[in-house]
Amino acid sequence: MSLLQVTGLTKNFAGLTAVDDVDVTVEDHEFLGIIGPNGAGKTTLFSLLAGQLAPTRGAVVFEGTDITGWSADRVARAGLVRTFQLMRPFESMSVLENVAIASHSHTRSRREARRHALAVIERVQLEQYVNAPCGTLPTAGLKRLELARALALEPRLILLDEVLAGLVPAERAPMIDLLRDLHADGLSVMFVEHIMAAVLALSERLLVMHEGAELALGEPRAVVADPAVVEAYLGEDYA
Amino acid sequence: MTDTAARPLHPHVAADDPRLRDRSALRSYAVLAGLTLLLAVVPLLLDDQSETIAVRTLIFAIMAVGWNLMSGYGGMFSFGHAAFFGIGAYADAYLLVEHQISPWIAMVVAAVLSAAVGMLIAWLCLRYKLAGAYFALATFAFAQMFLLVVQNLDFLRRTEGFNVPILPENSMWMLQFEQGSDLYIWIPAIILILALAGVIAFVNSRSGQYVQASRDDETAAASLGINVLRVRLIAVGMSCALTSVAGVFYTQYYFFVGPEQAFGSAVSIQAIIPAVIGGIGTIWGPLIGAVVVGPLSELIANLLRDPPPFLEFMQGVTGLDVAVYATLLIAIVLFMPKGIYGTLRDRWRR
Repeated sequence: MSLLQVTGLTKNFAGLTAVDDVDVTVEDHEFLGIIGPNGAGKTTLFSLLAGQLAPTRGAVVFEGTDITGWSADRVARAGLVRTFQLMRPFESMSVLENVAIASHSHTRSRREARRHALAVIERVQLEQYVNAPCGTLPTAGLKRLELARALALEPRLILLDEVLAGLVPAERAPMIDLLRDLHADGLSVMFVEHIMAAVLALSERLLVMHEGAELALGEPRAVVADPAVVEAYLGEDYA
Repeated sequence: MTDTAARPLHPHVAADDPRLRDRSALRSYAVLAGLTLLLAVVPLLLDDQSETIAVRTLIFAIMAVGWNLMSGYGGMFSFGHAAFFGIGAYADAYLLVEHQISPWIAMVVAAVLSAAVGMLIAWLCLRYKLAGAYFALATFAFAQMFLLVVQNLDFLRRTEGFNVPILPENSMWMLQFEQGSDLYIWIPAIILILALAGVIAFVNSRSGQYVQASRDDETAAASLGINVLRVRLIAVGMSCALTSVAGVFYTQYYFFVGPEQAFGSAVSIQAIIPAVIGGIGTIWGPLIGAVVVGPLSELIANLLRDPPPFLEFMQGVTGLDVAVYATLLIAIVLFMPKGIYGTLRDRWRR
């Protein structure tokens, strides 16, 4: 049984089909990359999976349970957790408190939650900011905070929405290493990203979306060499 | 838990790691203990005149602490807390006058009723995605509706209101004492201390943290597994229950309640002003604000009752208190947007 099984997933917004009949599976421990031009429906797909949006049609089965149309909080508690491309920290809280919010999903105890949160913060190498107000974090720190909060839920599957966007090249490499480590430790990942070097370095399979639909799916290097994919990105002159 | 998820996060952090130390709750309780001592002594020092001011201040403080739970920590700005203060004031008057039921029981009834009504109103507002100014307007509309309903209900004596019958002797059970009794200060003071202890415990609990996270970013909170609606309704229920207790005490202290004193829009403003002046979303802000506003409102009331010669034209003018609050509010919003406590705290931290 696949960890995640998506069939015929479709989302219409008043005439615009943002996600069009997408079928995809994610296996346990898999790292699935997702690419596509702007507006291809990648973030909408995440929103449908994580429950921020309800699909128009189709089904999402997670660990054998049909979670189609579940609310976001319920999906997250079931172990499917997403991050946001535009970071959404809890502004009034410190970094530790931010992460502890997620750690509280395992425990009512404030002490235990904070201890768990600190372990996660160390895991994502944010220890220099533990008790800093999250407003003082640079972009790279906020991206890691976003990741830390999602990890603190101890998800079965994590959906990462452009965690490398906005990072300067020097900041990308450590983030890629961190993601590789997390994956090596058993985390299952769906990874939306524009930076091809990162996508190719990390993905085991690659899904290409174009105008809401699935354009290609398979072994990453084969997929990016596919003429249809090249055309979608660069226009037909290059195909 | 599967090894899949557990391995990356194995908690290797020691429980006594110094970075985990958080004394803020402990500090708050210590301040509260000091405050309790202070409030125990204050009644002994006051004459009758200043006792009235102290009681008024305490009522303001209880209302504002209640309001702050929902609006400050919960981010759901209520402009209609008169509804819950009024439920308390009228539940007490009705049960006492018509059925000779003790105010202590009225407090429980009012708290449960207010919490239920408040949660229903909030549920309706949140259900239809009202936020910010729209949420505030909706709560204001509900409070006005309550005012109109009460003014048209025979069993609540329409616009006449209730007079509390005066007993021949002091009675703790009926919450009635001779004029000037220190108990009129001690009882609301104890209610306030318990309320503040409850607030400290709440904001440091899981539910309290969830409420604040939901206020900061609803979408992010939900994506981390928080049932946002549920935690918000908890905050609303506690807020409305506490405010109604202030209403019960109001009726007992002033021996009279009418629709305007209970459900009037000025009452909603009285719940908001101390919190805004002192600092929204802080533990001590509402109390500090009440200490400013309580004496001020008494000062204004005296001025109107007995104006000095050059202000004689103001004799009997109503609404001056609201005008002064509004001016004060504008000054605070301009110069101390986080309130007295919030601003000073931030400055001190830096």
